[in-house]
Amino acid sequence: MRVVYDDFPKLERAVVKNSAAAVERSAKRVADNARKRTPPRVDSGRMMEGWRVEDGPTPAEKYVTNTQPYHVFQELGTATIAPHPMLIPASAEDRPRMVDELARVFELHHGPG
Amino acid sequence: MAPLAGADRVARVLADRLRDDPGLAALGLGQRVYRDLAPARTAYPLVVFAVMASVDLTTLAGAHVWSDVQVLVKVIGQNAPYETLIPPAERVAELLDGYRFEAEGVRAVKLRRISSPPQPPDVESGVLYRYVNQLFETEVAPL
Repeated sequence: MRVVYDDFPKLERAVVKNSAAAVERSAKRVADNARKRTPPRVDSGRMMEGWRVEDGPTPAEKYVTNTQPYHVFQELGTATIAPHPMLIPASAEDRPRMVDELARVFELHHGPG
Repeated sequence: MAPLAGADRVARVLADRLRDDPGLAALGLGQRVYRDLAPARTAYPLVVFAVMASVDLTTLAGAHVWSDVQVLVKVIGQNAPYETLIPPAERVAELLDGYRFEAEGVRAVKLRRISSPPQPPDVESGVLYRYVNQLFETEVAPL
């Protein structure tokens, strides 16, 4: 008698779950960093407190958004307002850490490449 | 090289590359390439660029190895349709996408266009402004 174990479905579930968790942690750090970079010149504070993490189309995709549509004009600048980067540098700063966390997920389940 | 100097040098080299290009000038931009903000009462269309991120890679001992620098380049039109802004934006992409240089003590490994952040038009004092944005990234190391 030969017993065959198929652990691939279990492995796949674990990788999806842990990589989704890493992406979610990254998105939360990015949102928090963007909030810290939001200019204090606001009147109401709605943009500063408006950073959100929303679910994407798959568990491993998240969107960092702001409840105030005008944050785009602050981030990218206009003809009369200089750019005030918030989300772009926050995302760039977190990328190495997110890649490192994802690499650890794959090393954990597959072993070092 | 101090890390901040790297991003600043990338910005200055890119500005010169755009400003000196006869192709962009022929598309109606002249030499109107500005950092962060265009001066008041200037003609349009024009290019505004800004350093958006500069992330340093350092050794455990604290030595700076390189910086990942992101630069936003905007083509801005005044009361102009997008059709007139696309050709200069495409010229900007031709000039910068894949560009590498060694100058002023730094090496920019290779610029890549990583996104084109969309931006809705806005109205300022009755004037409509439209934007075509491109975000470029490169690693920058000291020579």
